[in-house]
Amino acid sequence: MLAKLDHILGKCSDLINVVSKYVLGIIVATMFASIILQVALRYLFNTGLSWPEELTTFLMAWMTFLGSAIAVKQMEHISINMFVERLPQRGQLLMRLITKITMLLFVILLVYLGYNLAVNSVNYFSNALRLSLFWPRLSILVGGSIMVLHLVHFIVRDLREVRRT
Amino acid sequence: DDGGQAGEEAGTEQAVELVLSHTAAPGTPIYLTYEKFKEELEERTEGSVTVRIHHSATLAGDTQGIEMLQNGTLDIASAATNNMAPFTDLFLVFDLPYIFEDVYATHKVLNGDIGQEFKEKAEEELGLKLLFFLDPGTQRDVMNSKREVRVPEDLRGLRFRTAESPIEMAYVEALGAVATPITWVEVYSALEQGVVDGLVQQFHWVVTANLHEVIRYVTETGGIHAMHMAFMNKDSFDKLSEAQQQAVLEAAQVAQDYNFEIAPKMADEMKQQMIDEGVQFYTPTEEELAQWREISVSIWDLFTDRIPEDLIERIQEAQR
Amino acid sequence: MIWWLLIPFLVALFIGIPISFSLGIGVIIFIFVTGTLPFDVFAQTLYNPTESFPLMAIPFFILAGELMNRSGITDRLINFAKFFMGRVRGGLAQVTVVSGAGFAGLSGSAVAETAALGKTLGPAMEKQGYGKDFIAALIASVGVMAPVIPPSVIMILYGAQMNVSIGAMFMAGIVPGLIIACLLMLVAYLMAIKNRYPTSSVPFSWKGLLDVTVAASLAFVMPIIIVVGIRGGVFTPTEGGAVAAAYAFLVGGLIYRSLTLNDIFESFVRSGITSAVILLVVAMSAPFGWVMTYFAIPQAVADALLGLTDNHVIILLLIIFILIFVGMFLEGAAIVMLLGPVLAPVAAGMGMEPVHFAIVMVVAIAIGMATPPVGVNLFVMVPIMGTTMEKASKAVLPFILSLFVALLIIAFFPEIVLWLPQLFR
Ligand code: NA
Ligand code: NA
Repeated sequence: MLAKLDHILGKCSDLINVVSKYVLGIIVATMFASIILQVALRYLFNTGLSWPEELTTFLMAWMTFLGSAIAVKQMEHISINMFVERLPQRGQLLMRLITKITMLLFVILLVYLGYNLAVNSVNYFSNALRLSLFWPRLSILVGGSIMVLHLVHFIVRDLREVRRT
Repeated sequence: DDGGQAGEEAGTEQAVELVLSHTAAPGTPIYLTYEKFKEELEERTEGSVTVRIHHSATLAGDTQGIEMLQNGTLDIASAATNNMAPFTDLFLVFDLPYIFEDVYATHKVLNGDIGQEFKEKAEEELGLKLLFFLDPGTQRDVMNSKREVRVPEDLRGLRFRTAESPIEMAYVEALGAVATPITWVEVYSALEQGVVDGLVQQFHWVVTANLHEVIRYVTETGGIHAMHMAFMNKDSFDKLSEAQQQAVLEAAQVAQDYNFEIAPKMADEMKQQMIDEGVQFYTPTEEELAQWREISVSIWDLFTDRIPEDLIERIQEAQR
Repeated sequence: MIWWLLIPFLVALFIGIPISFSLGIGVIIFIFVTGTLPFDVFAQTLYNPTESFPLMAIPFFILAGELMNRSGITDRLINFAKFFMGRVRGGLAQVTVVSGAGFAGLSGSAVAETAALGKTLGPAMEKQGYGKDFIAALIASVGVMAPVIPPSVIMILYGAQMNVSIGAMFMAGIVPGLIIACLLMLVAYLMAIKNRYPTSSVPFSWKGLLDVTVAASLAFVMPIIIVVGIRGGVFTPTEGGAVAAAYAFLVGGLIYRSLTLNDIFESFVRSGITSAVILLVVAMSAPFGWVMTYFAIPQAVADALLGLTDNHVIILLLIIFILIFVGMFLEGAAIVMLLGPVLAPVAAGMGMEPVHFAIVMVVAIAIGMATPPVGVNLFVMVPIMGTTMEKASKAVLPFILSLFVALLIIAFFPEIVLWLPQLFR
C-alpha cells in the first residue's frame, strides 16, 4: 500500500520536476532577453520601453518560487546538518521525517497565504503592462503547491524506510 | 495594583496604539507633519490613543503601505497620489501636468469641497479613510546633471529617469528627453554614473534620497504636484470610541493646516540645501514657462478617458 | 517577546530544516503567539524582495559565470593567472583576492560578487587541489569587499536612510576595502602554507606567455566592458549582469563555438535554481526583519546594551559587537534599516564623523554576510562548491578574524577612512 503510494507519488513528483525545469529555463531566458533588449534599445536607438523592467521583476518572482520548488525536490536548499548527523541511524531517520512534516505544514500555510495574496491582488494593476498583480503573485501558490507534492512524496518514502528499519 | 491607569485617566476610553508608516526622512515637511499629527492626537485624547510612527519606508513603501492598510497590518499609511495607480484611477487627475496653478492653488482646492469629495470617494472606492493631504512643498521640477535647461528644446538627447509608468514616460518624451525607466533605489547611482541624466521630481524627495549630490541643474518648471495622503484602515477607525474618532479627524485637520503652512516655507530651506551642495537653479521667464506648459498639457489626452471630465473643470474653477 | 522569533528559528535551523524555511517558520510562530498581526503580512513582505529589480543582478551574474564555465572562458583565465601567480604557494588564492578587489569595483552587491567569483574561480581552485571548504570560505570573505569598495548597494541604502553623502561614502570605502584585501591575502598565504596548497610547475617561456595571453584575451575584454559600461553609464549594475552574460554567450557560442544549445538551456535552468535558493533566503528574511522592525526589537536590544556605560571606547566596541551579532542572523539591507537610525545618533553623540561611522557600519554589515549561521555569501558558496554549511562555517573563521581586525583598524583610526573624501572635497 505504502509502496504503491510511494511509486505513484514518485512518478508525479519526477514529472512535475521535469516540467518545472523547462519552464524555469524559459523564464530565465526571457528575463535575460528583456534586459538585453532594453540596454540595446537605449544605446543603439536612444529609446526605452516601459515593460521590460516590470516583466523581468514579475518573472523573477516566478523564478524564485518555481526554482525553490525544484531545489526542494533536489535537496539543494541550504541547511545545517551537523547536529542531526550525530544521532544514531534511526534517530536521523526520525528527525528527517519530523523536519519534512514541519516543512510540509509550513508550506501548506504558505500556499494558503499565497492564495490570499494572489486573490486579493486581482484588482491591482501594474504600471507598465496594466497586468493584474494576480499573475506574478500566483507564483507563491504554484511554487508552494509543487513543494507540497515533493514533500509528501519524501514523507511517504521516509515512512516506508522507518517501517523497514 | 495592576495597570489600567492610562485608561482610567482618560475616562472610559480604551487605550489604543495606532501604527503609522510613511516614507519621508527626518527633518522633511512630511515627516514633521506626521509628528504633528501624533502630538495633536495624543494630546486631544489625553493619551488614550497613541501613535507609533515608522518613517523612511522602514515598514513599507507607498504601494506596500496601502496594501498593508487594506489587510489590516497597518492602521495609518502615507502614499503619493501617483503611487495609487495600481489601486484606483481616483487620483489620476493629480498627475495632469499644470492642472494646479501653484502649490497654494492646490491647498485652496483641497481645503474646499473638492478635498471633501476626495475623502468621501476614497472611502467608497478603496474602503479607506482619507484623513488628510500632505504637501511636499513644491511641484515637480525638471532637473539634470548635464547642462542648464531653459526651454524644452534644451532637453533633446538627455535621458530622463521615469517610474515604469507609460504616462510618466509619455510626459518626459513629450518634453523632448528620452524616457528611461529606473527603479527608485537605483536612481542615485544611475545619475552618478550617467545611465540617466536627469529626472522630474520634488525637492522633498531629491533631498530625502540625496540626489542633490548628483543633480547639477534645476529648472523651476513646476508642473505636477504629487501630493501625499494619509489613509486610515476603516476597521481601525470604527473600533475607536466616538470621542476618539472625533479627535482623529480634528488632529488630521490640524496636521493638514500645519503642513500647508510649513511645507512651502521649508521648500526654500530644501532649495538652499541643494544650492549649498552646488546645484544651480534657473527660473524660466514667462515666455519660456508658456512653452513648458503648452507641451505638457498636450499629454492630457492620454488620461482623459479615465478621469471624469467635469472634475478637471471643477478643479480649475475652484482655483480662481 | 523576541524569543518567540529567535528560538523557533534556531530550533528549526538546528534540527536540519533549510535556513530559508527556518526563517519563515520563526516568523509564523511569532505572529501566531503575539497575535496582533494578520498572517497575510507574511506573504506580502516575503513576496516583495522577489520582484526587486536590483536583486536581479544575482541571476544574471550567476548565468554569466555558468556560461563562462561551460564555454571554457574560465579555464583560459585561470591558465593565464596560473602562469604568473602559480609559482607562489597558494597563488590561485591570491589571484582570487586580487580579482575580488577588482570585481568589487564593478559590483555593488556582495552576493553578486560572491556568485560570480564562486562560479568562475571556485571550480578552477578545486581542480588545482584546494579544499572545497577553504574555497567556499575564501570567496565568501572576498565577497565582503563588494559593499565596501564602491559602488555599493548598502552604502546607497545607508546614505538614503541616514542622510549621509553617498559620494563621500563611496570615496571613504576605497582604503578600508584595500586594507581588507591585504589582510585576506595574508591569511590566504598562511593557510596555503599550512595546508600545502599547490604551486604549479609551468615553466616560463615567451611562447607560453603569448599562448596563455592570446587564449585569455577575450576573457579580459569582459571586465573592461563591465568597468567601462557601469562607470561610463552605459548600463546599471543590474543590467551589467545581463551584459556580462550576453558577452559570455557571444564569446562561447559564436567565437569559441564551445557552447551547445543544450549547454545554453542548461545554464538558464541551473542559474535559475541557484538564484532561487539564494533569493528564497533573502525573501524569507524580509518578514523576519519586518516583524522585528514592527515591534522595535533591535532598538530595545541596542538601548539596553548602550545603557551600560559612557566610556566611548567601550560604547564603540559595544556597537561593533551588536552589529556583528545581529549580522550573524540578519540580512544587510535589513540591518541598515533597523539599526542605522538607532546607532548613528549614539555615534554622533560621541563625536564620530557621520561618514566614518557609516563606513564602520557598512564594513560590519559586510562582514556579517560571511558569518554563520546566516551569511548570504556562505549561502551562495555552499551550493556552488557542494560543501556543507558547517564545514564552510568552520573554514571561514580565520578569515572572519582578519576581517574583524580590519574593522577595528577602521573603527579606531578615522583618518584612514576620512583621508580620501577630504582630499577630493
Ligand atoms: Na562594490
Ligand atoms: Na551573518
